[in-house]
Amino acid sequence: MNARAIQQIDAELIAAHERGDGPTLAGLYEAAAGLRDEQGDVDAACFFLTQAYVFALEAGLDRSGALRDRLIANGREEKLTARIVGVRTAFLPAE
Amino acid sequence: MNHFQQFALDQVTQPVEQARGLPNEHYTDPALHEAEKQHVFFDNWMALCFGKDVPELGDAMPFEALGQPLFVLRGRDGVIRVFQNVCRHRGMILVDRKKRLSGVVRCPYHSWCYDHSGALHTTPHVGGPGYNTHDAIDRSSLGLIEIRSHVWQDIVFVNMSGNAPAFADYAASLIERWGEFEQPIWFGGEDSAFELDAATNWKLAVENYCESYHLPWVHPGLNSYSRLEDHYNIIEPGGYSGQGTLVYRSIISETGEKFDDFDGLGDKWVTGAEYAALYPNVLLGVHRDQKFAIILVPTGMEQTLERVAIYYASPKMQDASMAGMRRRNAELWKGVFEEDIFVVEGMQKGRHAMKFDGGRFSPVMDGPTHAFHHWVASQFKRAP
Ligand code: FES
Ligand SMILES: [Fe+2]
Repeated sequence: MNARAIQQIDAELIAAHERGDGPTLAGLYEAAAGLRDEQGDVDAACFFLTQAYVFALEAGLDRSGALRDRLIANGREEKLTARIVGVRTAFLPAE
Repeated sequence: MNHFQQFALDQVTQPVEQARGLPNEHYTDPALHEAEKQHVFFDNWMALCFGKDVPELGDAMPFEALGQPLFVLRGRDGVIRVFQNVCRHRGMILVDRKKRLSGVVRCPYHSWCYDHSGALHTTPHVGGPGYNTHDAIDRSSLGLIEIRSHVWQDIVFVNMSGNAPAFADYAASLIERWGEFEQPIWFGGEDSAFELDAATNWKLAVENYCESYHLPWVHPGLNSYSRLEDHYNIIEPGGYSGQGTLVYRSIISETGEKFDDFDGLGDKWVTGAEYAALYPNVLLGVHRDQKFAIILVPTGMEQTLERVAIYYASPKMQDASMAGMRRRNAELWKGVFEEDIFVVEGMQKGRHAMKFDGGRFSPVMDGPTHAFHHWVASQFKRAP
């Protein structure tokens, strides 16, 4: 089941990369991260989370705030310290 | 700079009666072109592009400033910034074409991401797959290199060296001269912008723009209502030069329509208009009902792209209902500027003549052109 799901996501990822469809890429990578999480593979999950995060950032999706938080929780990303210009205020660190 | 070149520059900075023009090498010698980049463009405020090139929040556009890759970004905070168009990681070009950014600036190579102030926002996998930080990578010191910039009258100026005086001081005398025109301007849109490409050194476009001497010969059509004797010289040593006319007439359509005038202009501008080159590379025109700017883009030592944009006095002038008038106006200017192409290209060819000595100036008619030569020569002379 899981292997088939991964294959499916892979195929959709390739298509989304070809279209340059950032929001879809963010969603697919996040789904891929979820599947790795289920397998207990934190490193692989964080790899995909990072991919999801970058495409969410580029597309200006509010979702990127939550993705960054997940990476921070896993020790893979730093808290934002400076005020960030050009992306959603949702990224501002909680005071 | 050798003694011979120094001597030639000293001749340029003589009073107009005795002066010679810049020697041929300033138009034809690649070594001097390189030196000119630094002394004339990078040490001063050069015009890079228009604000209207990046009209919406998040609009980014790449520009080459004499070989330097830059990009302009109208950030989501509404601020126009100019950055070196190069990633701090491995030096990849960041913005390869005009685009509208919804979020960060993502490097297409390894996806380091920068926010709209240039701050480095994330560095994916920099500490290994899934690890986005590393002690050796201090993000706070790896933001994009921002180029000092200033927007005036929708023209984005850059001072590459960072050493020029503040723009407001650099251009103070022209800003003051045209103080009445310090008010909002409205870009006419697609129909009010055009480009001309000329096989000439950019300086010849400035020189020709500065003077009215050529009007009866090169623009005979214009001369019927804008006679030579109705023009006067504008000379501000070290800053700008050009010409003014006493007989500007605004366009009136067959149905009697006119463009709106700028607010509160003095009597001088009822029939007056002025044209000046703000050194080094922007040519400006102000009239009661319109302004235009021509940014000279030196695409090579002997090639210049002239980017023209026309602006009006009220947002109503941007309406579709004014399109016919705007088009007619743009056509008129385009016709005039096209008439100048053969002379700037012809003078460029002339600069290859071994025995041309820089030429002479009419003490009466060529003052504005000489003022420009004097300024260019002075930039070389003050260089270390
Ligand atoms: S060169 Fe830009 S991320 Fe590597
Ligand atoms: Fe002309």
